[in-house]
Amino acid sequence: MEVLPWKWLLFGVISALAAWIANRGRSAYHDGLRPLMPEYRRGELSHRQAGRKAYDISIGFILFYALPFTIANGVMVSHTIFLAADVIGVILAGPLLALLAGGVYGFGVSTLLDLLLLGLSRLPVNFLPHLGQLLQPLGYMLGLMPVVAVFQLYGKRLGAASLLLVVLARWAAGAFQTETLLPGLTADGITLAVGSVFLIALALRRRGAPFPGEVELFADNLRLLRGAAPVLLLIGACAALAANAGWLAGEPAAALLLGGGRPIDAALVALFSAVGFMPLVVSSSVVSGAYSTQGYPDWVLGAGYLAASPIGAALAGAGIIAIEVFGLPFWMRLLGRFPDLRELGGAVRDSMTIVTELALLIGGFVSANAIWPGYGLLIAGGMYFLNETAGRPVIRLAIAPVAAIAVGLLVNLATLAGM
Amino acid sequence: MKKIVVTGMGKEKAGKLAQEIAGGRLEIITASDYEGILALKSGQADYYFGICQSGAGGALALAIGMLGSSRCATVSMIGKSPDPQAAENAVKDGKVAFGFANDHVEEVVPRLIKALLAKNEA
Repeated sequence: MEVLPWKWLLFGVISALAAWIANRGRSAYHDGLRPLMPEYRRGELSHRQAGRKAYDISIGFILFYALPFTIANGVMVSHTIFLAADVIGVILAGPLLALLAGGVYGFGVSTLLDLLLLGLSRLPVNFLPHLGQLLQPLGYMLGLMPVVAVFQLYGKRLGAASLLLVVLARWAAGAFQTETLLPGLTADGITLAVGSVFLIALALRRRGAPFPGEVELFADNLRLLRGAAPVLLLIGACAALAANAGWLAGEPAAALLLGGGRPIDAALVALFSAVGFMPLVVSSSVVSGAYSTQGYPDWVLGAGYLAASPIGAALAGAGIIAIEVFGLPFWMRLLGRFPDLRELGGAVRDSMTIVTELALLIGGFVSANAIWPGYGLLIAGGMYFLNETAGRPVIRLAIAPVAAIAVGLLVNLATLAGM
Repeated sequence: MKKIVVTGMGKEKAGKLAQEIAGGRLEIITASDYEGILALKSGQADYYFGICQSGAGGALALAIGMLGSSRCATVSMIGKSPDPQAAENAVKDGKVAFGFANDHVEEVVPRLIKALLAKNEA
């Protein structure tokens, strides 16, 4: 294993800062924890209660939304760091203790994951390279993310039109060889970009009026948010730095793309996701006075994937957080002027999950069968149905990748047993 | 006349049902959750209904952020048939924001409206 003290230290720093700011009640990565922060700050919600709640809503994401994809290609998914930092931050009473515990966690978990990957790669049958096949269907289906959102918001006719548009975009990307214009901009990425522009254009048709006096109504919370900005900027800079090194990604889809050497496509997913989360982060933060620990997930990381140098990445990461936090009054007015952006946000978040689910179901089954031909699909398919029957303890997005990893472990057991 | 803002999943349907039950004795509007919070905070609405899949998640997220959980009540959650007394008790306790599961709109909305009418006409 490569010994990467800088990597582990950087994760330690990110996690320490994230835990500290959660402890102060001024930021939460989980959208469900953020609304509880005013009560937490007033002491009406104890550390124990807040920690319990944060743990309950986060543990599933860490175990199934994040870890399987880190095992698949070594890229940390941000939930592993930031959701755990939420829990550590609010459960501990002392800010200094939260900072230290967060640091130890970040350093420890990144080291342990690297060790785990080293261990898995040394097994008699190294199945990790086969997990690369998770990515292929996802890449081809990137353009469906905006299409599914159009279906959800505007029905079958405009949805079908958007599907036709992304198929034509794919053809045009090949015909005009866009990849030679900008190396790394794939036809898959173009379908996502073109579909997103269409989706956003549809949502901007309806105009509304900003609520009069809206900014004044939340003046106290806006002051709290601006006060938290220095630490948030630092977290943004460090997170972008880690993304620039290829160590940290936001969503499972982005992690797979980044690990597969496709930073531009990963950045497009990050930007799409940021469009989806922006309305949610803006409203939940002005109402609660607590921000989202990495800004709108995940364009800070997207800037990191694209930046030419680590310094450029850090500056871009901090700059994005500054635009978000100091620009809050502007973003509030923008959402008032274009009311459909809120609906769009929900549809984008849903579609990202739905498309990733389908793509990873295919990719996971293909990987499982590549790992252990014949047995792979039999076992992974069986695990899928087991999960459904058991009331879906493993989220649907992760079941096939988790099954593929399980098949990888089983094929090793079988080999050791001399089967 | 007291004003109720209905937000969240299937808010149009729930709003219409509320209107039928209230029969003009309460004013019902529908809005996004954030607009609902704005209405409550600026005094343009008196009560807030939040609906989501589970009843416990997004339904009251913003309301709890603004009002604190002591003024909010989850009156039904997915997977459990709603407690018939939950709505009445929540209204009696002076709660102003009520969260419930989309599945239970038809049971919970009439109960809440009747309880609110009883309270405000008493």
